[in-house]
Amino acid sequence: MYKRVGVIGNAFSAALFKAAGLEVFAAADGSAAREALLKLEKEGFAVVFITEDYAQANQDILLRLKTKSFPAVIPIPSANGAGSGFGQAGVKQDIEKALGSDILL
Amino acid sequence: MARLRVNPTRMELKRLTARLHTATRGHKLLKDKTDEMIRRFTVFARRNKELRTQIEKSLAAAMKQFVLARALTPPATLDETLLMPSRTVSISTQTAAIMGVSVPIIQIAPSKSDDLFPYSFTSVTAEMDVSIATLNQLTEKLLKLAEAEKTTNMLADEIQKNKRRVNALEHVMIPQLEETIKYIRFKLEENQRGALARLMKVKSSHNE
Repeated sequence: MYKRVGVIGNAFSAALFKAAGLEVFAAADGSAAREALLKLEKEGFAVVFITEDYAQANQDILLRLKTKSFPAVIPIPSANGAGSGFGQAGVKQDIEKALGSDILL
Repeated sequence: MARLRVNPTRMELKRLTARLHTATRGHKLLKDKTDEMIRRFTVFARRNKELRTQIEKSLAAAMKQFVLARALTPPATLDETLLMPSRTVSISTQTAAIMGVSVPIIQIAPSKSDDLFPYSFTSVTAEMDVSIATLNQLTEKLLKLAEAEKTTNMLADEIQKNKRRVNALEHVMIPQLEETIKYIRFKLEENQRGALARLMKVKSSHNE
């Protein structure tokens, strides 16, 4: 049922991921990314990779989708190459949520 | 702790004792469940963190190469070379239950095409090859990350919910029930003493 993998990013990231064979959805800004994300959710994507800048702009949707099995929305570093730490912060948040403090890693 | 508003009767006492028994048992079970979930969670969280660190590093490298390639190739040529990817990533998904939480399992299907590069080597620079090769290797890892991250997310959420249940039982429900049971017992004993005193009084006045 859930068999598709999508990538949401700016035109630059999109081009790179397209070459790797993923379905890409280029978005010009945060709100366009929001529309794309909602569309992918509706279309039953299994995994959606979204660049960190757009993920940060749509945190409310990410938070809502966290408790659902599909789609798995995963923030990845943005086109400029350097991770803003948003993805790592997500991991930290989960650990704090479960254990009370980030003592694990 | 406030006690429940119930009539101090034997029937009520019996009912509450049964409830206390269930609550204590449930509390123990839920606590054990949380412990086990945390144990599993730590495994996934570690894997998640490791994968993420690796991927962010490799992806940054791939992006850097891609930036170089883009700078060295005319935009039209670049668009043309990437227009039709030579391989598509196909996956199959299932769900597995970890302590009652249905988490996704993502399996990547082998690509039908062995051809990695969707262009001829004469049209673009070597940096493009490097970035695409890196990204192709990364795809599988990215999907593993998706699986681990989703599992971590869902387990964290479930652990939090479970902890609330355990706390509610431990700090609200069980003390409340204990207090009410104690109250009913005292009240019943008091009634019994009252009845006994009355009987003795009646008996002594009868004897006079």
